[in-house]
Amino acid sequence: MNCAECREHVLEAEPLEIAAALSGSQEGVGPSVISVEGPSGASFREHVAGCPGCMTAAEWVMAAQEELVGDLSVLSPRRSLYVSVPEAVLEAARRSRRTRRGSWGIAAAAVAAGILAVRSMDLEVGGEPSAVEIVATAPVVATVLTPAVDASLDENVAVFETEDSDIVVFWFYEGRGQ
Amino acid sequence: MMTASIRIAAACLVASVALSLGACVAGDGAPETETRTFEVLYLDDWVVERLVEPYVYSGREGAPGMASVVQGKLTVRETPENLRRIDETLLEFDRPKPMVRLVFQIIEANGEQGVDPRIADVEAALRQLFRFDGYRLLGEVMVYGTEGNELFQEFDVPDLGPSAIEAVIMNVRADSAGGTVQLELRFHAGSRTVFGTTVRVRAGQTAVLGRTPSSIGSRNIILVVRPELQQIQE
Repeated sequence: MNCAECREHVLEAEPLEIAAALSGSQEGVGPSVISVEGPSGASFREHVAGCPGCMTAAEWVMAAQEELVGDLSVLSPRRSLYVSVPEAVLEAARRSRRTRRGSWGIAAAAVAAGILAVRSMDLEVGGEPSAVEIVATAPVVATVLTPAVDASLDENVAVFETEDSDIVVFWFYEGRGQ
Repeated sequence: MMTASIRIAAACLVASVALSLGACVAGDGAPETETRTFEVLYLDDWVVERLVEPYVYSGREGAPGMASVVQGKLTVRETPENLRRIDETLLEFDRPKPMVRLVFQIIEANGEQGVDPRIADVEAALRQLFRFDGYRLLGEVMVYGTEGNELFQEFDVPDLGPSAIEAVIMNVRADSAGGTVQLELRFHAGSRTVFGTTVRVRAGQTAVLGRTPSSIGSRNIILVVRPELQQIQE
């Protein structure tokens, strides 16, 4: 797996798989993690472990997801969204991979782009070309074909595709650490 | 032997006729060109210029192609075949911009127990993502416009007071997949701007905009917009 493939995989991998890759090994990782790994799981883990740039990208995606979940947790009337949102995202990913993997890839990329694009950080890319466009200007249009949405400097936006392909959800939330 | 010679002569004759008639080659070897002016009804001059550029061979020796556009009049000097292609291209793309119908819905996530059939599809999608107890339709607005139009619609939303939708139809692309619409949106409730952003969605697709934390105290207001394209009859 090269850097481009790795970063594409980061955008569509499930959080537990990314977490496992960041841990550097399977040690201490339960069977639920192994079960969510795709066929490229081993090479993904190896590449992340040996590539500082891709490790940073993976850490970013994880941090962005945690931040989003944290912000959305204020909406939780029934139970903690820290649990329910990842579950929803994972379930959507599973359903999507069974039915239309390509679309989920776009959705995941859109979420990541929406979150990452408004962060004024640089990602060091070593050696191989990057599949992830990091834009450090703002306001930024998070564009992944269609749909697209603008996010201002002080906010992030997540783009969710739903089971109904005719409905797309843009959810704005406060940015932190700008 | 005699038969073979006749066949060769006949083949030469056919080839000669084809060369002089079919390929329209002038006596000096350069192809014949004609000049024709097309009337462009809907496309901007600069778009037409770019559109026909690949069909105009300005570097052709002996009979260079030329094109100029001014105030919707496109004049081209090219071979009859290329003029026909340009005609076909204009016929395909020089069409009126479609009318855009925008349907807005203002929804509050507030624990409403029943399901409003007017927002049933959006509610189902939101329930996949979030765990609000329920959703209530506060208001619905429909406006029409075309690309470049700025739309402003005032209305009252229960409990929110005087509200207004501002929308600029920035870009409309009609394509074989149904087209896309790019909108600059602002939703004002009272003195507050609840949403202000630019979105692009497919025609017929529903964009659901939400925010955390809410910009109206503890009330979670969700803006839904669905653009639909309606072709204008020529």
